[in-house]
Amino acid sequence: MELLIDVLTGICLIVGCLMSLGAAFGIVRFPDVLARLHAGAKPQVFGLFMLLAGIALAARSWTVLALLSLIWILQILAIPVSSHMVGRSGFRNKHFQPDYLSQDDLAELVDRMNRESPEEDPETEPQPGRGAQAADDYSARETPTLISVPTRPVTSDQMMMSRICSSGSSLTVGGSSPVTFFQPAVRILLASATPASEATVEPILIMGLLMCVSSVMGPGG
Amino acid sequence: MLGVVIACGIILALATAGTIYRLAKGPSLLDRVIATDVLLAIVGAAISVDMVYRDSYENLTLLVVVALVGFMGSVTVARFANNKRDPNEEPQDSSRAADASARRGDA
Repeated sequence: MELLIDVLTGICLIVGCLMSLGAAFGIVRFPDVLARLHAGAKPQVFGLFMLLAGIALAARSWTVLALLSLIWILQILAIPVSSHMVGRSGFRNKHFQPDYLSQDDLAELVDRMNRESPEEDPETEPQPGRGAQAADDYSARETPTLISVPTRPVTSDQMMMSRICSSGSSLTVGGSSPVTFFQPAVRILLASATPASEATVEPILIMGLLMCVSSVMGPGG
Repeated sequence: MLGVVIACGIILALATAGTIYRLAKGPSLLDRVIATDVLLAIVGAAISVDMVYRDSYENLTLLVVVALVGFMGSVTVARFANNKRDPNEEPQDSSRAADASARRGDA
């Protein structure tokens, strides 16, 4: 049984390191920023989980497992935020080649934002564009959304929820206050299911399984 | 376990070489930010392998701090730095872009 656990530890460590190699290969070979962003987030999620599973199998103690769970949860909260921010900056500043995109839903909106942001005209009425882009008065001045908000939010809680429930790709014009800095983070944490967080259900199940296994192995190992 | 550690060392060294290449070459700031994030993940991986090999788990707090603080750099750069695309920069793989647009039959 010792040998089996050592072999499993070795496999987990090697797979975790191979994810880092895959990410390095991806960021060397992929053509633009958005694709490299996708490749670069891989070792930070699944590679880290494999390495932490290897440590958990080798350590076989509850305190180490608790600390590893803390590391895993913190990293899961942090990675979608950083990927989203870098992707938002990259998309808005056109760090991609439009030939690679088959459909660009936000091009018109980004052009309008980039045209309006030097003038910073707060008195401009929100232009009713296509049906999907009709925006609220309040939210259009600061956060143009792609999903129309039917009722105007009155309380601060409703304003917060309307911002959170709007599309994850909404853009902020001239946001320099600290609130807009945390907007993407809050939106991601509370609303959207990013690809990184969809992958957390199975690793948590596997981690629970590993906990059961290590508790069985602990006294006897 | 020694063989596993040597294999992991070689894999991580290759990954580091590729990442440093992108860090040096990346035509925009955001490429370098992504490369820095991957470098941080590789450092975390190396710390983990070292902990398993030496069977001492005292560096776990270092891993916690790395996970917490590491992403703040990329978020700060993405939010506050001037990331306007330089119009003179050449696309990475213009031949592949031409193939892609030709395949779609663009005018």
